Amino acid sequence: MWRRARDADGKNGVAVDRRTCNNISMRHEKHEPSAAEERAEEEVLLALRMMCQSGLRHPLHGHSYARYRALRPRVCFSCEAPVFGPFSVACHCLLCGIIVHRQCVMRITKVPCGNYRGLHDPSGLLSSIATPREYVHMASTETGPHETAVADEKKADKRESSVSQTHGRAEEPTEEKQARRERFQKDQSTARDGRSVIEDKEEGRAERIEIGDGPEPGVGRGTSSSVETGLVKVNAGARGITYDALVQVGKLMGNMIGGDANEVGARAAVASLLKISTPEGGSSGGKGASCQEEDGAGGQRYWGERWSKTLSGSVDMAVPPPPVAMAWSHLAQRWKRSVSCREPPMSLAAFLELGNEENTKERCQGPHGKGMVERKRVSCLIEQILRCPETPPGGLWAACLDQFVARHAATAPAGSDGFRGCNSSSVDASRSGREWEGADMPVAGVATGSCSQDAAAIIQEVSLTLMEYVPGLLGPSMEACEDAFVAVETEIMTTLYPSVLGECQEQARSRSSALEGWYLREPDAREERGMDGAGAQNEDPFHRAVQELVGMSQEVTGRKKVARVLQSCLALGEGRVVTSADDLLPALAGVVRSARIPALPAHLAFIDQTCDTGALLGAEGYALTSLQVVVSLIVTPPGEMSGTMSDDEFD
Amino acid sequence: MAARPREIKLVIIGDSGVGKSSLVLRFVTQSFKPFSESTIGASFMSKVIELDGQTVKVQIWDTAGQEKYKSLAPMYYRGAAAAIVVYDITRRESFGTLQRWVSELQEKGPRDLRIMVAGNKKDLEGDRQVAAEEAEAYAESIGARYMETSAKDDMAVQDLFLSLCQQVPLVSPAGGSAIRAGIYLSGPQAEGKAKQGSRTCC
Repeated sequence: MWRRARDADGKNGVAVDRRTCNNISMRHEKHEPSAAEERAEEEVLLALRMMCQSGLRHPLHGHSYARYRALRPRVCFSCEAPVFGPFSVACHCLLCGIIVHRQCVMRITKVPCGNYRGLHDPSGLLSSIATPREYVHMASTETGPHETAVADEKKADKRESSVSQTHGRAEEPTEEKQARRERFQKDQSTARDGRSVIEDKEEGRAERIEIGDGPEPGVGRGTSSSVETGLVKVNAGARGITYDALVQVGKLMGNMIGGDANEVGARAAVASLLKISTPEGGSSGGKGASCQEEDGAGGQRYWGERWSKTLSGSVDMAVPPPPVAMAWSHLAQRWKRSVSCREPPMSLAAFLELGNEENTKERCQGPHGKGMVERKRVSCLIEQILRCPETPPGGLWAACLDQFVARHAATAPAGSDGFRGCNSSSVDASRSGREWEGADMPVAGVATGSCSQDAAAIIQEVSLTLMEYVPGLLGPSMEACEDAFVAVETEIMTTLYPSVLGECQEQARSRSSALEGWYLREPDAREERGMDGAGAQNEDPFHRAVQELVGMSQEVTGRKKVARVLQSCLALGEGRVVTSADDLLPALAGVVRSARIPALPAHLAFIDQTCDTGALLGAEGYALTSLQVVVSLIVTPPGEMSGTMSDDEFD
Repeated sequence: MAARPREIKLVIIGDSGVGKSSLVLRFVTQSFKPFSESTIGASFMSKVIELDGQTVKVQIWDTAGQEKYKSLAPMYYRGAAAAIVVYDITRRESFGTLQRWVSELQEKGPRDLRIMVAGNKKDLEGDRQVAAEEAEAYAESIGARYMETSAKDDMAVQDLFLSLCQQVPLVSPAGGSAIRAGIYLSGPQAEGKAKQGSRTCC
């Protein structure tokens, strides 16, 4: 991003900056609507924004939108670009669950609420449908200007992103896409009549991809998704360091918001961090990357210079105030360990053991979950830094950046430092001589398997930390700061997005199968509970429960749906599958899994809307509530709910 | 004229293994062994009782005590009029957990919720780890009542439920039907909102 910005304008820093910001959020806005269209859209968005802010629902095209804070990677229903981060400006429909960028809301007019067969569920847990984008293709009657615009954009972006594309990796998305398309086709042919229309659309789609890939054969083939375009790719070998960098950035961003938010500097730092995290020229031996590298280094230097100019005089880098130093030493310890050791990057559990022992003990005692403690810790550190009276507000972010740089320089191999331009005033880092790219990456031998798992956790962590922390700091002015913040956040999150999304999906899948397995794994236990009685073989209560639940999805009225839910639960109770409240939820989870009802949350939302669920004090209410709990358990990833759950607890 | 709600939702909360289900079973079926018909696996039960000459149906919602479900517990509190928070007098940590349950209940539960603190397993007096005075003082501090029970020996179980139901505030029929007014503890506004919301449904 910053690279592009520099190309466009090397003189006016502020203007460039503004442009880059917009660039990110406007990526998906390429189709250039007419003035009237624009105005209408603006109005709607404004209304929507107000609604979202005030926490009210806003019905639009049958969807009931509310603000959405993405704590793990999601894709926009409309443009398929990532929606990520607590500050991401997105909406989700409370009824059918689709998630869209705020600026994409107008685009999904053709997918009325409830009409989409599967829930927009990126984890693929509750529906097995292909991507929402493909559905939109089906639903639309003509290839809108949007589609071609995306293709064009791909073309444009490819030139820039080709840097980090290695050929082996590039093939994967295409194949994946193909498989998905086939699956979707099959899916559709069984479910729908308009077969011919579908085929036409499929052809149209294939063509479109060719347009995107055609003009530049050999270079960056496989930029098949807009998610991956124009971004610095996360290199497999560098993952470990990237994730740690991300953690640091998260903290730094927290600081930035608290202090005098100097966006230019922040962006420069973020860019630098990302640059360091992805040594294309180094371990991966990236081909044909040299010119881009030069360009990048130049950009870095440019921003670095700007940055140090901004800094000069505002804060004394060499001597940070004592409390800040203390807080930073905690963070630095972490950083040091993860960078200098040739071990896999630190897991969250390991992070837990670091620093702040006293606080931890107290909070850890209850089984409140480690995630909570973890976030508290990060908050504490950020707070410590921010609340320190000796820190000049303007230089806060600067001090943090520099601390980070200094620690990094101290632990990196001698003489290697990528921050050449950035930290001219730092004592430690000024020893630097070479460019980072040439240096031997300290984490070259990192095991990548656990990395991305950690990454997902860390990203979530950072998101939650920021979310938890920022409102208290800013109070009413939060909204104003958010927009500025989104730009920075998007860049980081988007970079990590491709590698993390797969992992998230995998986690969701394994978790659900673990839930399902609860029942299947314990046939003995079932028999002990009295299932081997007369007729138990023929009428397995579990399967009866599943059937009832499937029947629920076919009922039309909310009342009848509720009655079916109750029947389902009763079946479990009568068969003595369940003998206490503790058993009910896991058993019901098995039922939900086996029933495989598409858009189950939508059904629940429907019940909630049409029935007076508050008045259901009896067994119906209990059954319904239990089902709701189970669905939230399945849909919500561990850690997202107040950090009280973890994967192993499901076993 | 203010009247008792005809239906009372009662939630049982507490750590795993403190005897929540046993208490309910004792109250409903007068037996210690789990047996009941047409309930959802013994986790939901109801009983019709008589309070001051009026029949009241008590809907007892048992909750899962495991920690992993805790974050979802507020879904169970909705519309509850009374709650029994149970701990095990022979297990100190269950009393600690109880305090967190209570604070969460007060934070996220309905406003008019009546809470009863119950120390279960009184029959195991020898293994007592939490003094009655301490628990009583705590209950007082949160504006709740305290009782020690034994589901096994049927000590004060009926008393526990009945006195709690007695505390449930009366509702005036002016605000609609007795049942409705008893449920919408958050007031008529919430009801209005719910109606508004239903119109937005597709």
